[in-house]
Amino acid sequence: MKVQERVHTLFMRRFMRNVLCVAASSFLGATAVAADIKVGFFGPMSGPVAVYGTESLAGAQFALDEITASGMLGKDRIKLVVADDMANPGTAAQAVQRMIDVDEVVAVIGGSTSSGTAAAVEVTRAAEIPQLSPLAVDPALTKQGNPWFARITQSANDFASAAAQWTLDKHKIKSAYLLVRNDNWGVPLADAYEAKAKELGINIVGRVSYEPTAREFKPMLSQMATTNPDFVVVMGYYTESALIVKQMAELNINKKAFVMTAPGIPQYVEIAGPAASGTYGVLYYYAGSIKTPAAEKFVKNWQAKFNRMPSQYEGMGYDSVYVMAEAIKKAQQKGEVSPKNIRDAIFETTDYSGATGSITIMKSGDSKRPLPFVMLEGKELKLDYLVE
Amino acid sequence: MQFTIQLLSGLAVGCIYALVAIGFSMIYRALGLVNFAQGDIMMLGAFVGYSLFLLIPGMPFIAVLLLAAVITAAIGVLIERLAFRGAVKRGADQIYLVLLTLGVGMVLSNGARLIWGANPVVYPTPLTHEVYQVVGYPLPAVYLYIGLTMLALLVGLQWFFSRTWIGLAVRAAADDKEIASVMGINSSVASAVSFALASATGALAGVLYAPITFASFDMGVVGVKAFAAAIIGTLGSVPGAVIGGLMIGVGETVGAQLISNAYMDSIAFGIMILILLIWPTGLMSKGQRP
Repeated sequence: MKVQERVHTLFMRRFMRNVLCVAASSFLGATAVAADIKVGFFGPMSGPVAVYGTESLAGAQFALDEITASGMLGKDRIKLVVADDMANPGTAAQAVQRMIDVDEVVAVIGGSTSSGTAAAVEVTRAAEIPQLSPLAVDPALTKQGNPWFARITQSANDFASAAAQWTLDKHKIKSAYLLVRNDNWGVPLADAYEAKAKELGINIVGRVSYEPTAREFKPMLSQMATTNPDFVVVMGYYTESALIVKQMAELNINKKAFVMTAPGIPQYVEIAGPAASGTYGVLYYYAGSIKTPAAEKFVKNWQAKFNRMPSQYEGMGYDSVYVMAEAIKKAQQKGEVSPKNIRDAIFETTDYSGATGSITIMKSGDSKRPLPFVMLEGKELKLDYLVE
Repeated sequence: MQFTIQLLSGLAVGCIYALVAIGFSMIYRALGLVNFAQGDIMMLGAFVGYSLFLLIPGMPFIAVLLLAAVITAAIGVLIERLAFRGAVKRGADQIYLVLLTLGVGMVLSNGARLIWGANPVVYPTPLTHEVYQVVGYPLPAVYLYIGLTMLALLVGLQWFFSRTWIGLAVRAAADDKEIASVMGINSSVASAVSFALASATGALAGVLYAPITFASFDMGVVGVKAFAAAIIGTLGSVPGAVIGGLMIGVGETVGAQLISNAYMDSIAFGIMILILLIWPTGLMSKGQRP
């Protein structure tokens, strides 16, 4: 089938459905028919990073059960159409295309990796379907002026500037030393940290970049030690961060180290070994750190069902569905649960009191949200400080 | 104090480069071929070691080291048999053989990704995080294994190539295939032995390198620096490979300390370029062959 024909058929199908809906509602008056509102959900459900997808899906499902039970959307129900993108951009784009063409979803939640999300964004933008990501942090995602994409998490750059705030507020540091992965991931993060640190009056006593293939950091670390900074800030992948703290221990350098999101990743702890204990990081969400009724209710209900605390990805998955449901509710009130109405409502999200804190979605599609900074004690993560 | 620690870790990493470089040199001598899969064979050895740890928990590190070398040597022979021997017999051009090695490398690293996954794995042995304090210097325990393995390997290879019939046969076949075959030396056996030895040293490098960092499907990139080491010490020379490896290991560590970590890779290759400017055929080009 030609593209134009396909678009035409799709258009006609939607048009007819709307006509039928309008006709039906005018016949039936106010007593609308209960409808399934299809929402896509994609992320890696298999493969090495499956935890991002499966856990955020578990949180999403948990939220969905609550929403269905509470009757938040009246007689309508949200139906999740789930797809596994295997953290592969090609698969993500295909899966999302299929959700839109075949399942006719009105909105998409996902993805859980930045690469999968970036590929899907091209599809949802072209099809004019709103997409809301629970976990993707790549700063580039919200820099294209795409009106169809938003996320309930901050961009990685915001994580980095929040880190500067945290090092000052909690640890009262006067100086920091930056170790930076020399690529388009590490450099913008370091820039964001440095800009905020300068604004706050933290002295950056050194900034060294290393090649992404580097495995030996001892020369760099002994140079760093001579400047005696209050904090070592590592802006890189968890593999390098782990080797850096391991080699710091081998050099007998005792410095507080911040390693971005690494402490939440099990391999980080394995590679760094005992040296991982005492290092700091940031998570999307730390169960128990948010003291609002909504957040406490979520943790209580989750514990009652699973007998353990929810993980950071589960919390984010949970909130993504609630933010979506709120938007759908607003669209209902406007008279039509259309992609455009949902999109507008998503971008109107202001101070939504979620499980992971108060969420405001900004014009760019990025969010404002509290961020928990954590410390590893042995292999356990402990809350260090919450940046509001 | 700091300088001594740097020097030690430079030597340790240098030994890893040297072990991989020995593999490059051995295959080059036997087949006149640069085997770009050497780095990936090292990666394979590291994963074989990891699987051994999982299969037999609590296995002593030295046993894992040796067993991984034997298993990887067998895989090396298999690769030689399946991928190279036929091509060499049919008289494939050098350039195709080199491309073949690149292809084998890709198959190995993607295969490892399929089998062991994309995430890095850490050896489940205390050695990974053990650090001795030797007269106030922190010394990662695995450095001792690296040093001892290096010494044992050099002595072993020296003995093998000068005292055993098979070792002498491999050398003879490398020097002149035709004359060697007249003397009753089967050149395909010689090339299989070279592949086995090169793969075994590669596996030693992998198993010794994994506790310093971790094992991952893309760790074969070390092969690029090892290749530079082999070039410095003249391709084909085993002692040269060792000297080259240590020069790059120590040079990049000390150089990075003096200049900047950002230039670590540049320093390694800078050393290579500098040496080739002065000795265009490497440090060991004279007196290597009669």
